Amino acid sequence: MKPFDYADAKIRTREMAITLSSIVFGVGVLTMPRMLAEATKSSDAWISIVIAGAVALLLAWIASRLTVRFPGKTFYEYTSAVISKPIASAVTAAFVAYYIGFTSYETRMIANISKQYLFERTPVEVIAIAFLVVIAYSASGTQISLLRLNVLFLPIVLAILLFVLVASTDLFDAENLKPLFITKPLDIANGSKESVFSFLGFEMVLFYAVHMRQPAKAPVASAIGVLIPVALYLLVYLMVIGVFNNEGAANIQYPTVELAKEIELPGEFFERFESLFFTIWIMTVFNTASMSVNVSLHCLRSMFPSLKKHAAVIGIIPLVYIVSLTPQTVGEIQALGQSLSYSGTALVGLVPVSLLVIAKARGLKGNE
Amino acid sequence: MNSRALKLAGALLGSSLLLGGCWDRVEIDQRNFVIGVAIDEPLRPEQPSDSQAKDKYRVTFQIVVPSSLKAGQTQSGGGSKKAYYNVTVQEKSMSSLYAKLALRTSRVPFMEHLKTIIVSSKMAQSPEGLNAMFDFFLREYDMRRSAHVIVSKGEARKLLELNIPNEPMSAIYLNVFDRNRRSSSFIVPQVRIGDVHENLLRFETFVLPEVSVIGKEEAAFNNAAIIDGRTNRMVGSLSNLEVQSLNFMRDAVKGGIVGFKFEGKSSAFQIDKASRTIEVTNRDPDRLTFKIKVSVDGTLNETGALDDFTDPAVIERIEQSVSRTIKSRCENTAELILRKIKKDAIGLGAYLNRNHYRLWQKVENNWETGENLLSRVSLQVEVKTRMRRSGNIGKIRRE
Repeated sequence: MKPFDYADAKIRTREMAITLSSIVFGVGVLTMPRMLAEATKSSDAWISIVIAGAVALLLAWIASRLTVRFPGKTFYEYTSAVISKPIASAVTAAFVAYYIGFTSYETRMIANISKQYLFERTPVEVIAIAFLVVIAYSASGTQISLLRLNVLFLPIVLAILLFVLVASTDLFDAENLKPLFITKPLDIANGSKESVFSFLGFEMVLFYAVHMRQPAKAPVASAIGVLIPVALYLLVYLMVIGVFNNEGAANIQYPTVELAKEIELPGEFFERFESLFFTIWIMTVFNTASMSVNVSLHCLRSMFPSLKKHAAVIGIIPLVYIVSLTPQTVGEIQALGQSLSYSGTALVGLVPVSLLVIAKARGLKGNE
Repeated sequence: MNSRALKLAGALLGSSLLLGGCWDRVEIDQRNFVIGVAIDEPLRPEQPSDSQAKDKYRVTFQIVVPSSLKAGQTQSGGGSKKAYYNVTVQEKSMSSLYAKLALRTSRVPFMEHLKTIIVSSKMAQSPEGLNAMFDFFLREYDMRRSAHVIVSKGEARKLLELNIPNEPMSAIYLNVFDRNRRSSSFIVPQVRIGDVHENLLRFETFVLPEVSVIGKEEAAFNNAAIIDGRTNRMVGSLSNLEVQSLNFMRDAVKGGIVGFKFEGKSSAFQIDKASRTIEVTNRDPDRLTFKIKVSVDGTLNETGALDDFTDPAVIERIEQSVSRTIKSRCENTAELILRKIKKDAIGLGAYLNRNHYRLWQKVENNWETGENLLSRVSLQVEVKTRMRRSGNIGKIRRE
C-alpha cells in the first residue's frame, strides 16, 4: 500500500490548533469527572480545572516558544544543538518511553471500556489487538496525513459531545452545584493534580511544529489547542455534577458514559445514544494514540537514521501490546495511569523550560 | 503465483480472522426484553427445603412478547394474546435470580429497556433496606439509571399482572404516570433508580410513589412512601391530601385541582403554576425555624356559589380561601412528617446543605439521628394565591 502524497506538506496555524486539542482530548474525559468529584466537595473542582488549564497553557506556551526559536528543525535536531548529542538522545529516549507507555494505557482503557459497555464476551486481548493494528497502519503513514485526520475528526467529535451536553440539560439540576466554595485549598490543588494528566498532549507541539507553514505562530496554535479541551472538560464536569451531584459522580465509574446513557430522545432509535458517543470517543482516542506512536517512531528515526519506518512500527506495536496487557485489575490500570501521569508531567514540565532557558542563556537560535 | 498475489491472499486471510471474530452477536429476536421487575418477599412453604429457607426475594420479571404486541396494534380490541408474560423466580440474591431467569426462558434476558422497578411495601420496610436490592440494578452495565422505582401497597406482582385495556404492557403503563402531574397534584414526582442511588449516597430521605391496585385493570398513584436516607428503609406512608401538601412544600406541583370551601359551597381551584421558596428565619440550631412561601396561580374551576367573579373583592376572598386551605393542609402534613415520622421528607436538610452550609455542618450529625433536631424544627407556611381567570361563564344561574 502506497501512502497518498499531498501536494502541500505544510499545515496552517488553525490545523495545528485542532491537532493539539484533539490530542489533549482523550481518555480523560471519561474518568476525570469522577476523580475530581472524589478529590473535592460539591462542584468546586471547576477551580481545579481552571488552575490545571492555566498551568497547561503556560507549559504549552513555553514549549511553543522553544520551537519558534528553531523553525524547521526536528525535536532531536534542536535539542542536540542546545544540550549536546548524548543528553539530547537521553531526553528523546525518555519521550519515546513515555509515549509508548501512554499509548499502552490508552489502548488498555479503550479495550476495557469497550468490553464493559460494548463487547461483553470479546476478550480484552482481541479488542486491544484490533485497535493496535489500525494504529500501526495510521502511524506508519506520513505525519502530514495524520495531522489532517485530526482536522477531519474533531468537528464530528465536538458536534456529538455538544449534543450530549445539550440533551442532558433536561436532567441538569443547578441545585446540585451548590454549595459553592466549600473545598479546602489543598483539596482543590489535589483536584488540579488529578486533572493535569487529562491536559497532557499539548507538548506534541515540540515535535509537530516543524510542519507549520508559519512556525512563528506556534504559540497561538498551542494556546487555542489547550483552551478548547479546557472549556470542554469544564462543561462536561459541570454537567456531570449537575446531573449526578458530587456523591453520585464520585461513585459512578465512568460518569460521562452514564451521562450519554441517560439521554432519552423521543423516538425509540435514540434510546441508545451512548453508541454514538462511543464512536466519537474511540475516534479521539484513536487520534491521540496514533499521534503518540507516530511521535515515538519519528524520535527513534531521528536518533537512528538508518532505522526503517516499518521495522520501527513492528518493534513498537508489540511492545505497546505487552505493556497494555500487563496490569491485571482496574486498580493496577489506575496505578499505571498514575505513574504515567507523574512521569509525563515531569517530562513536560521540566524539559521545554530548561531547554528554553539554556538556549536563551547560550544565545542559540536555529535560524542563524 | 507471484508475490503480490501471495501478499493479497495473506492480507485477506488475516482480515477474515479479525472480521469474523464477533463474540458478542446476539440477534434481536433472540433476546428477552425485560421491561418490568417486581420485588416481593419470598413465599415460605410449610416445610422449606434448605435452599428455599435462604431465599430472600421473589421477583417477577415482565418480558415483552413482540409478536402479539404487533397484532394488538392492528386488530382493534380483539387482542386475546397478551403483549407480555411474567416469570416469577425466588432466590437469595438479585444476580442469582437473573441467572435463574435464564433457566426458565428460551432467550437471553436483556435488561437495557427496563422501565419500572416495583418494590412491595413489605420489602421496602424490611431491615435490609433498598440498597441490597438495588445494587445489582445499578452495577450491571446493561442497566440504565432511568428505570422508575415505585412502591406497591400489597403484592408488587399484582401490578405487573394488570390488564390495562389501552396499554399493551403494564410496566409501561406504570412508567408514564409522571406526565399526569399536569392535571393532578396528588402524584409523587417520578423517581429514577439513579436518583435513588444519589439519595442513598447523600443520606437524604426521599419519597417514592406508592401505588395500589384497583380491580384488574387499574392502578392508582395516590400515596407516597417515605424512605429513610440512612437506613434505606420505608419509614412512613402519606395519603393523597398529604402527598399534595408535600408536593407544594417540595416545589413539585405542576398543575391539578385544590378543593376548597367558598361561602360554604364546595369549590375547586385549578392550578396553572405553583412555586415555593424556603427561608431560614431562626438560625439557632435548637430552635431552627423555616418559612416556606408557596405561590399559586390559577383559575376558578368549579363553584356552587353565585357571586360576581369579576369583582375584585370576591376574587380576593376566593384567593384567601384557597390560600388558607393549602396552608392548613401543609401545616398538618408538616406536623405529621416532623413530629411523628421524624424524617426529612420535605428536604429541609438538603436546602440547608446547599444554601447554608456552615449552619448545616453544625446540625448535620444530629439532624435525623442523635438529638433529632429535625423534630424540633418549627415550620411556617405562607401561601399566596392569584386567581387569574374565572372560567368561561359568569354564574351558572341567576339568583
